[in-house]
Amino acid sequence: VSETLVRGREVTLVDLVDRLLGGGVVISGDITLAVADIDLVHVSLRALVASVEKVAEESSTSTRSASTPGASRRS
Amino acid sequence: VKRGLSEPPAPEPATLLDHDRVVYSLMQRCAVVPMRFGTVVDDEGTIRSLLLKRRSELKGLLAHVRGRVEFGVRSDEVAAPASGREYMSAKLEAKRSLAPLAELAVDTRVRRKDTAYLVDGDLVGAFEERARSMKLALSGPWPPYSFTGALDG
Repeated sequence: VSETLVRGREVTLVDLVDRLLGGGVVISGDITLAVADIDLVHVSLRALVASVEKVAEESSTSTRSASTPGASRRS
Repeated sequence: VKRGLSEPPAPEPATLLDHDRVVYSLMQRCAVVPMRFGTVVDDEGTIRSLLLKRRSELKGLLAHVRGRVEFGVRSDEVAAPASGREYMSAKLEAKRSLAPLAELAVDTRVRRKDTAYLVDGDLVGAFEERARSMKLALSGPWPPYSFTGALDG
């Protein structure tokens, strides 16, 4: 899967999906994330990212624990 | 820093590409901190309060990515490592071999399948040249999708 999708840029679908569904600022609470039509790999990736963020949030709001495994995986 | 999508988009190749195209074209004019794909906010008031609430964080991110673009280098999977030690040393070796590239970047993020580099606009040419000389395939330039998390240090 390495066809170039956008002229002048090396943008492959794999890299695109990875960035758009795994990157970007996440706003919790007031938003809807569209999950339809994503295959299982990406759903589980996002579930992972979401849960990691939850862990990070909780640990920073309560007592600041040293380093959660999630926090180090994310950075 | 804002985008005008109002419906929840399905994550299909076409909509993903549209999203990327919009963010990328915005990036040509100003610094952009992308939101996660599929983010839908009810109304403008909510956007305002969200932006206000995270003002200092977002300002920090904007300052970090201003005038810079992201490139990606795919990482080779460590094929069936015999041990955790082997896995870690392969990872370390991979990181070491990419050091000349990291030198030209202001920030790096090791992602799941690739390493992302945040590169100054002035150094894009040099960065691409070095990647070529190292026989590495780059993806990008991207808006700074991978540099929207907490800033390191």
